[in-house]
Amino acid sequence: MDKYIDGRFERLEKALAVLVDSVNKYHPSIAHAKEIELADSELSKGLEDVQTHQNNYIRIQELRKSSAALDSQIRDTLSSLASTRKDIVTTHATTFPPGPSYPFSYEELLSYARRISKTTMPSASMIAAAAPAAATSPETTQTPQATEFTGATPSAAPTPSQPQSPAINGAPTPMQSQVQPSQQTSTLTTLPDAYSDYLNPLSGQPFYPWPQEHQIRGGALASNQLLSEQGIDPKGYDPVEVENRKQKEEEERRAKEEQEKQEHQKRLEEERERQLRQQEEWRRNTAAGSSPTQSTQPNAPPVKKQFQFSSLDDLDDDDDD
Amino acid sequence: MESTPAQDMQTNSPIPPKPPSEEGICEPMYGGFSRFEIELEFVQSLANPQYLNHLASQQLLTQPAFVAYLAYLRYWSRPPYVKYLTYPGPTLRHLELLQQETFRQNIISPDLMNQLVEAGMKAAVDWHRET
Repeated sequence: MDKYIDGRFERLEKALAVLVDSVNKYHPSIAHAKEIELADSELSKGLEDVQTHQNNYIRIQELRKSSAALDSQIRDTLSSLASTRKDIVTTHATTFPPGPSYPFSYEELLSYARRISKTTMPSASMIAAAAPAAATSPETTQTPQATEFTGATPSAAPTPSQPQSPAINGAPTPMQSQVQPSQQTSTLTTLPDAYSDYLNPLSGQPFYPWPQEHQIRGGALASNQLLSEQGIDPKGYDPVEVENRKQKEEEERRAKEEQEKQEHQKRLEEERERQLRQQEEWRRNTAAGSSPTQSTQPNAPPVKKQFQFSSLDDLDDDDDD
Repeated sequence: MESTPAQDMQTNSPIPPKPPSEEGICEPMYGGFSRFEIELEFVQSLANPQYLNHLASQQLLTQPAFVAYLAYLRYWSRPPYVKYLTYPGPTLRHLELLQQETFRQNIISPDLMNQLVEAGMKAAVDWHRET
């Protein structure tokens, strides 16, 4: 560009010099004047070109800048994309076990969790006690881990037959209570036994994640077994119903007895009334026949008086007669 | 643990009993208990390794009818029945193990029984510790 504009300048200068020279020689020519005019217009055109060139240059600069910015933005986006992808790849997604899955409601799940918490959840102290046991050494895996897991009392009492790892705490069960009471290494702050027993009646009871023998023995199957051993077909046989029926029969019998008793009583009363009536009748009859022996009637005193009066009247009547 | 499931239970149709619902179900009762109750109790008893050992010692686990009954009991692993299990982990695990013939043969050994006891206890504790 410099060369281009320099050429124009040189041409103008040369034309100007030629013109000045020709003017100095007092021999000016139109051709030279024309030449200088041409050169001048060329120069102004060249200057315009320079301006355009400069503008273009600025524009190029700007474009370069914006392209660089865009480049960096693209680079950032790509790198963040790559890191995100890496994150996604390394994120542990929940792996659903193969097999069918079933819909369930949130409420149902919560109520189920609450229901099974008693039968699936060992006491907190037991879980805490098992933690160091698992962390210690491989020898713990060889020892029987948990034959008698028990609840909240943090005392250790290993069974004599099965050596437990010392870190597992177990309260002495009735079977173990005579064994090694000296091993209590309690450093935790705990409530006195009476309080903790009161607050949590299940504490100290061994935990098993399955039903116990006494539960199985006390269940429906055992009672059915008992029935079939007695020669009763359990199908359609309801001991509760039978019991109810027996009770009902008993009640009916008792009601009947009661009724009979009442009837008997009633009959007795009627009999007595009848007797009384008969006696009265007899008395009246005998009184009409003027018998003074009437006063010996076993009646109530006021009634007796009345009878006495009447008998007196009778007597009077008798006397009158 | 002398109680064993009544033999007539096995001959029932392979349709599982209906779970308890609001409307009354008219079905035969066994000693005052519904089939649902009895089967729920039995399938949960299977969670106890000592009971499994007892069943094996009674020669029950080799009877084809009993094996068929065990296969039938697998309906407890599906809704709507699974939510009635109060010992879900060991129950379903032992139920699945009982489908294998080798397990049915081996559970008579007290060693395996003790291993199951240990593993069950450890699982119960570990599971809660991790979560």
